[in-house]
Amino acid sequence: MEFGRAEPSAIRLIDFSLPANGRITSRTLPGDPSPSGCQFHVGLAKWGRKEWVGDFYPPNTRERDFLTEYAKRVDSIELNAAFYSIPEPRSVRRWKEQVDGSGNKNFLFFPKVSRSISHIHRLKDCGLLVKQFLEAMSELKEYQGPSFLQLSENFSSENYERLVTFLQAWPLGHKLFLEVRHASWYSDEIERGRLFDLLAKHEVGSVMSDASARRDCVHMELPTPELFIRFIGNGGHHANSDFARVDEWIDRILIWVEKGLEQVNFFCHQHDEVASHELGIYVTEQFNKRLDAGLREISLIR
Amino acid sequence: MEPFQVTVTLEGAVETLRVEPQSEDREKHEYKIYQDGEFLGTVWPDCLDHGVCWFSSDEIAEDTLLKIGDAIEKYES
Repeated sequence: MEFGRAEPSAIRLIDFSLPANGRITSRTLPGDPSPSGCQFHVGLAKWGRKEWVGDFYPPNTRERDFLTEYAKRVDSIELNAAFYSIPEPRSVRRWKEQVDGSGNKNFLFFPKVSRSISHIHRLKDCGLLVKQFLEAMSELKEYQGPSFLQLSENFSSENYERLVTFLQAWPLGHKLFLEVRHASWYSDEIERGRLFDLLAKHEVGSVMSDASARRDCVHMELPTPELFIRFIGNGGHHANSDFARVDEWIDRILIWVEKGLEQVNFFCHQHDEVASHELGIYVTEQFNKRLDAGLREISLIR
Repeated sequence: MEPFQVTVTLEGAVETLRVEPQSEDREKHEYKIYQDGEFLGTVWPDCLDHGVCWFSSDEIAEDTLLKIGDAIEKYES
């Protein structure tokens, strides 16, 4: 079963309202707006989509130009390619060159940590792999954004000490966000508390996946003054419900910005990913309108 | 990694495929794909200029391969 997917008939019965702030959020946000303001990054999950030629990419766009065309239209992307294998540095250099060609100086890649680290070694003895991963990502140069580490759904809170060891060894100066999915991290208050205290101690941000069937992952705990949302819309007949969920996120972000939130990273997913750019259109439009986010607005070719 | 199922639309029909992740120690992670118990092929992702691309050593039509790859990516994302 795909993560967080609900049967279509069940979607209208789900309470999508956002929970109250988590315990650590009120500790993290100082109470006043950040003097440097809040930065906003909105992106999608993949640029290599032939289906987008004609309505999102110009007609006849070649595959090798997809990333350049993407970066002309969107400011950020989850770099999920890095999850499957640590890319060769020369591949990463080409991605950088392709973004250079777009002229978008604000573009950022958000690399997903290789699953060799997260799912296969399960964080144990990963020093060399982490080094290889970060060396490859450093080829992105000015376009390198924070990395995010997503642990397996079967990585429970029993593995807390393993997580501690991993985070202690994670190199300083490389911003990281963490997503855990096993329910034990959220259902037990003690486990939940020590997880987010650990992240705060290491200045590791938290990821929230906002998915229909896993509302516990919308934990509202900010161990750092940064928000990282992987928003998974249902699309199609549920588009208005998706938009209402986005609206509620903006309501909350407005409050958090007033209290000191410094960064928002919002990635648009849909169960039918081919249509994720349509969700992105609404998100960038509303972020600019209500948050003065200064994003380039995603639009379709008419 | 445990086997899992993905749902894809092939030739207009919704099909549930069984995906068996192969050797975990290899950097190129392979998956064996089964449709109704019948072996369809082995697929693997790689990072190219256009991001994640899916390959197969077997005769899987390109659009089918793309759909399988997409479904695996979605399952694992």
